Amino acid sequence: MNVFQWLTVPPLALLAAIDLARALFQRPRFRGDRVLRAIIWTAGAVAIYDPMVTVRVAHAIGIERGTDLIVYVFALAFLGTTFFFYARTLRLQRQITELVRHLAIREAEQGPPRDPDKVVAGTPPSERTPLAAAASGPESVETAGSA
Amino acid sequence: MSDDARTDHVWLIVAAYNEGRRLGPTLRGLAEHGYRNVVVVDDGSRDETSQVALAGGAWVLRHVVNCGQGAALQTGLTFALNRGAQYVVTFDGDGQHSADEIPLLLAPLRRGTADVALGSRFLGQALNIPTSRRWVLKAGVLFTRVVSRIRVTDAHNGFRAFTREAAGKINITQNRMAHASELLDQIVRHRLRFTEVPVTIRYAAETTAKGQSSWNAVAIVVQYFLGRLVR
Repeated sequence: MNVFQWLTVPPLALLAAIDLARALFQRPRFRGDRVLRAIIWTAGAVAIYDPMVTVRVAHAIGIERGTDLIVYVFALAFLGTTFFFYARTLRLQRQITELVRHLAIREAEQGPPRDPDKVVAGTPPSERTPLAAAASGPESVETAGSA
Repeated sequence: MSDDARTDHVWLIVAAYNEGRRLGPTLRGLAEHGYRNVVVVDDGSRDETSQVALAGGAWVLRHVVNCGQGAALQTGLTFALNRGAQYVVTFDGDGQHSADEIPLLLAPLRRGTADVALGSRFLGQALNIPTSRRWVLKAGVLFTRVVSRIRVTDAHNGFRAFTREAAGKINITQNRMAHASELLDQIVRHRLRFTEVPVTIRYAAETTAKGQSSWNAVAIVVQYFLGRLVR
């Protein structure tokens, strides 16, 4: 093995062993994503240890060169990863929206939570900040007007 | 002015983002027509939208961050239903829609012949509409007919009315402009009875500049499909 192989193959093999062990033995449940990760680490280690393996796999599925196979795999993995993170971001965005909606509705129905820096206890509604009054709905307009 | 008893159970939802300058006349128009239940959802504006809405006598729901028009409409729908709305009308805050035409949208719902009334500028009038916008909207209609399998003449018109039951079934998850297509999908999925009503949309230079550019249409299509894929 050359220096690069010494530097990369053992850590990859170790990562694969850790993920596989956790997937198989860690309770409470079997984790498929850990198995997938173990397969990826193993494939990386094998490809670096013996580059001819990628050539043989490429030939077996009708691709001319091993490097072409790697490029294709990376292109597909990039698309998959991009979609995975897009989906995660979108779900996060939806959760944030739910939170923002909940706050907006709660403030409109109950008035904003009291902020000691902005609202001094006993301050009449007409002297509150415009935004605090705004969130209280039409009733607060009448209250402010009559105060 | 409309009969109080007929307008009191009608709730208007106005999604507004930096509409401080145009919102005032819109709210005055609604008040003149006797609509007292107006909900302005201030979608994280950086101008005085909230203050203008409050001065106009509206309920103000403030998104602390900008989420998008679809998200704002859903916030308004949820709030109006919580307050006991019998009919919910979505209305633009920038003066494009006319309060005179709200009864036209509500008529089929009151008669019980439809659950949802969709305004159509192509059955009615689109005043001063730029040519490029007309063609983009027409392309949107074609897209909607093919993808959503719903026969409409105007797919992205914000002037709509729902019965309470129909509004309760709508759940907009597309935060931004793709919500219009999602809404039509949900009308089909929940088998809601819908009808199109001719309405007038007035374009002004300012609203056209703020509205969606033709290129944005491509982004909306991408958002729509990706949003459908992610549950």
